[in-house]
Amino acid sequence: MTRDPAAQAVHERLEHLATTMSEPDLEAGWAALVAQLEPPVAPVVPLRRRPKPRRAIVLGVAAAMLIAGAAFAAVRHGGADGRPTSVGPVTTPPGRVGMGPHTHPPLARPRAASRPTPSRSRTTHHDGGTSTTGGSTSSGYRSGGASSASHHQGKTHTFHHDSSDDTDHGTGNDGTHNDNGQGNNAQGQDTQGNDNGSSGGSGQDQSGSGQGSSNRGTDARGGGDSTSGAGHAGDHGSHNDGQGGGQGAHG
Amino acid sequence: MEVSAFQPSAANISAVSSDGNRGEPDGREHERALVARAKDGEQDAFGTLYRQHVAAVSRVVRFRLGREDEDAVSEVFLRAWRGLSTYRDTGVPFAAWLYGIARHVAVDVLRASARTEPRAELPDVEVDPMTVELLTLHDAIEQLPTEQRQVIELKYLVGMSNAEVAAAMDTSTGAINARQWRALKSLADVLEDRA
Repeated sequence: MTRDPAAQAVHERLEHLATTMSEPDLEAGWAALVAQLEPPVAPVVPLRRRPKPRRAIVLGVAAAMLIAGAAFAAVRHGGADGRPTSVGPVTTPPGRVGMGPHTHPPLARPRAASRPTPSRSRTTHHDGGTSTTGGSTSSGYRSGGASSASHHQGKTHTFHHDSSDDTDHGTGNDGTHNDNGQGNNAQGQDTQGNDNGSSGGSGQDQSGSGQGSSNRGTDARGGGDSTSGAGHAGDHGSHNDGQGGGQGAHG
Repeated sequence: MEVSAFQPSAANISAVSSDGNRGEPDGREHERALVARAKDGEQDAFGTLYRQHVAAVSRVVRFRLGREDEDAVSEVFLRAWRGLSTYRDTGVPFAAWLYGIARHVAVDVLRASARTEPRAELPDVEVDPMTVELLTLHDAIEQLPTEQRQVIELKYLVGMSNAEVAAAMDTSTGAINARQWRALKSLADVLEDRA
């Protein structure tokens, strides 16, 4: 580098300035400073929080309960739709019904009663009507309401459709007559030839039709069950099944 | 005359090799030990550091403020004491760390004084020639770029060598020499214009 007189002059001025500055009193300054010194702040070390094992257990139990509840709800919902489920009543196909009495599901199942759609199952569509006629109590417990005319004996799955003007409730009656849950036709004869019987609720099945409320097309005995109210309909070839289990004491 | 040959007459903080290379100074290990002990809370070690650097810090504060301010000097070392746990020895001299603190303290003092309204007229005080010279150079240095100004302050006020300044500014010794040369030329031009 080239020697520059102007830069050299500035350099000398700066050196002179630095040397002429008064030196502070070291001991006095330190004595004043040490009185203000505090212990240095220790560096903050964050504590490690170990996860509590109990929390994992609680979460696991909660997750298991959630899954189990969801599975149970799915099963129940599926059963209401007509799929065979473990919680629904065990029914016997009509082909085997003749071997013994039917087993009917319990009464008054709100969910099933509130479903207006026709069902394929004989046991899932229930009308909860209860009527008392002549001292007999008949609780309609049917599945599918009125069955179609083209009934096939021994078939376990038939479509049942209530007529649009059928106002009976839970009687297992079909057709257009209205018997309001008695399971009896006022004339003693169902227009469809299905639900006939004495108005006294004798539980007897006449002309091969179910008495009371629950009639099965394949039961030849035709006797109403006076204790359970599950009437058994005699099957005479053209009988329609799909009647829910009537309940009540038939006179 | 080579710019690299400029050596401030101020007391050197540590012994530096005379060749100006970035070699390890002899006093650096001692200074590191003092800093480590001070970080552990030993006030005696910090007192030693204080005695070594208080002159340089005092010059920086006075040059920045234009007057002596013992409280500002004490504030610099108080902040250094409180912030010792954050100090990391990266090869930069401890004086450079103190220089940074001193600059911040000077700025804070100037801001605080700017917010103070004078209630009475300032008395007519005769200013000594030294203060006039200091203010003149201060105003000239204020017009330099930041890097050149830092080189001038570190070399002439703090008393660091070119190698130490190069380490503090994370550059080479040659670059420091060039900046010092340009800074001196610029200062000469500014001072000539004012004259």
